[in-house]
Amino acid sequence: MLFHFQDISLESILLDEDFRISFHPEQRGLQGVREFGIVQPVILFPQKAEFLAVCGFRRVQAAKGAGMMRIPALVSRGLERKQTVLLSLLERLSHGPLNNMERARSVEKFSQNGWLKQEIGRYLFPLLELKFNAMVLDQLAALLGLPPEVQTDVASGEIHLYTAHRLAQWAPYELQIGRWFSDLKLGVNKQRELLGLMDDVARVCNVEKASLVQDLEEIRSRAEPVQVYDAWLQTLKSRRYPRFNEAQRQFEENKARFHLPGQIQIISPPFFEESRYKVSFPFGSREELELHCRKLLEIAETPEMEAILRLI
Amino acid sequence: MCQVRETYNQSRMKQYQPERIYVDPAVTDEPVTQYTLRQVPGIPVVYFQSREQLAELYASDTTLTEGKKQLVLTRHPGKFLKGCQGCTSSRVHCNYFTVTYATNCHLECTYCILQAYLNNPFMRVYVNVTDLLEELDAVFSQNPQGIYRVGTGELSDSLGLDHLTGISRWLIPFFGGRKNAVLELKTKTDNVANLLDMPANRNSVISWSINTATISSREEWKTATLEEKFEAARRCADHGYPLAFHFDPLVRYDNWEADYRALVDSVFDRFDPEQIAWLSLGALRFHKELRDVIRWRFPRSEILNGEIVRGTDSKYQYFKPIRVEMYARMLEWIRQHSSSTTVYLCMESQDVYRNVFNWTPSLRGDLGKYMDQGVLLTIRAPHDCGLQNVDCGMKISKQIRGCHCANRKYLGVNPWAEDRRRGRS
Repeated sequence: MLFHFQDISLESILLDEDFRISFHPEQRGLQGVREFGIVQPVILFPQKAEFLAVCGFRRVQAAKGAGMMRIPALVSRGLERKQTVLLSLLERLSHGPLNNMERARSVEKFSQNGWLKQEIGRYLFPLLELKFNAMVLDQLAALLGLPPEVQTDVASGEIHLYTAHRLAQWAPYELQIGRWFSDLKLGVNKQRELLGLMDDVARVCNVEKASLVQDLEEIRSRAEPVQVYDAWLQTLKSRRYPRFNEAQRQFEENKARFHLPGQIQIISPPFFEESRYKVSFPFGSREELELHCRKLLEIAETPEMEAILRLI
Repeated sequence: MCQVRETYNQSRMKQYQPERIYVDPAVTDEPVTQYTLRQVPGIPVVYFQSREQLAELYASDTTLTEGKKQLVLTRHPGKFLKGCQGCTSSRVHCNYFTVTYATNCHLECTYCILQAYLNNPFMRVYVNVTDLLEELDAVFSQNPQGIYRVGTGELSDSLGLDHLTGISRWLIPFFGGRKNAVLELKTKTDNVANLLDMPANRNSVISWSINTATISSREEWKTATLEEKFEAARRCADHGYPLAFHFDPLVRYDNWEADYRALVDSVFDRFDPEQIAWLSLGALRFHKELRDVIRWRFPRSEILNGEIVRGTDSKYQYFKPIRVEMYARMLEWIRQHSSSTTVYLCMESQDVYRNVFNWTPSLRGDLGKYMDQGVLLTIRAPHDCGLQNVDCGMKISKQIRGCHCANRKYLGVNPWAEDRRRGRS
């Protein structure tokens, strides 16, 4: 028998988190403990005269909150710490997939309880449904240093693993930036793009992080929420890509001078990399087609068109 | 004479020594295996009993840095010869072929694509060289009219492991005297001892990727210094090998113009244009995946600092006007030394070619033909360029380059004439 069933005094159960994998973004207490007691025994690891919780942290806390003295428990017998942390993970996995904070905790707890790096790669990472490499290890480790509020957003999925890892490099502004992302409900790709640009602008343009964060905060305070992301992008890109930004400005300025009807669109190639612009317009009759074509022919010989063509 | 700035460690480059060697059971008796093991007495050797063990090794969680310290001798299961995969459909292809007899590189250049491309971290050598040579012989013989420019430096440094494997001792004699094939051994090392220990031939071009001292010291951690590369090139040229130089990657930074100009000058200060088979220019480019790897492995690297945007084929590169400016300046400096040296752009678009050379090659064909004809001139003796009915009209002062311009007339392509009209040379 690997476990021994017994009622254990709550006073003897330590809430040290040596084996704790679970991370609940919602800090709600367990329902029904006061009415029904602890229905499912917790799992404990004996440590001298006391016990460490392996599975059932919230049940122990709820029982203490309900004023209970003893709870039912399965106490491990002869299990090593290495096996115990695996048990904790498997028990947690039986309730559903892990969130990213739990993945990060798993790696930390496995490492602290005697698992070698190679073993973590071979046995733990498949359970975490992650590809094992040193970069992912670093990313997970970075999560544990984030402020608790940001960790909660990571656990709830509002902040992606990759973004969170990058956020960690923005101390002490991780919370502020993380809250921007959560409040604006930016998707992963948008978060990545913004953080990438922020990193670049800070490094390439030698802009102080504090100053950049302040600039972005000012934009946020002025703009409508739906416009904030675009406004940020424009600001960051103009700093990161000054020559491209200038080309884009020239393109837009010259295009505006054509006074084309709104239906006629001249579209520049991405980053002016290709050598062709695109023109699009709708038409439903020969007259409409001729009208649009005449308008385009009119602008073909203008200095503005010459300037636009020079950009590619 | 321009001085090459040398701000980094002047000590000689360290040759690669593995900490452990793994031997695939399929190649235990291969000559290259035996040769390699003789070069590294005292290094632990693990003889695998089955290929499954090898697969397990590949699937292990070894990091790239650790994997590079371990050498795997194994067999290439498929075709060695492939068309160069570097160019996507929107780039001008030069009809280059690659042979992969090794994968991975120990030189630790921050911008190296292999960091994000290879599917295992080990230094791997495909030692079944006899299979390789049989395959090449069959291909070259089946198409005697074709021209094969074959490089070996796509997934590894061509000479990085040559002191251990001696593969150049097989390849160089094999290519020697062939009418339709040229081998390019592309390196960032000065590992040329084997090359100097056998007769040279004009079918084997030894080439170096070179960069400014600033970039070399900052972004190329374990390569030979520029002086070491030049010294090795000098010895190869004196021995009779044609040379090539790749200014790649061109990186934009504060003092790039002065530094790259000095670099170009230093090439032509040391070598006659007649000794140089071709020069290539390639601005920094990389896949998205590599960007994250660079940031993670080399957090202090400044290679990503330029105005780098996403290109048409998802590769990241400098904003087009910046690339054009860099290429044009490089070409101008090269043409100040030589009006006839073959220069091409690596993995560039037709647009950029037009802006730099005032010449728009087709995506597939023109550049390859142009390069192939240059190759014929490189490998054949003077007055034997194969264009019997064309009077080149050039005074043949030195070997090899004598009737080069006639060849370009024959091709109907003479981009350099356009350079001259635009006052670039």
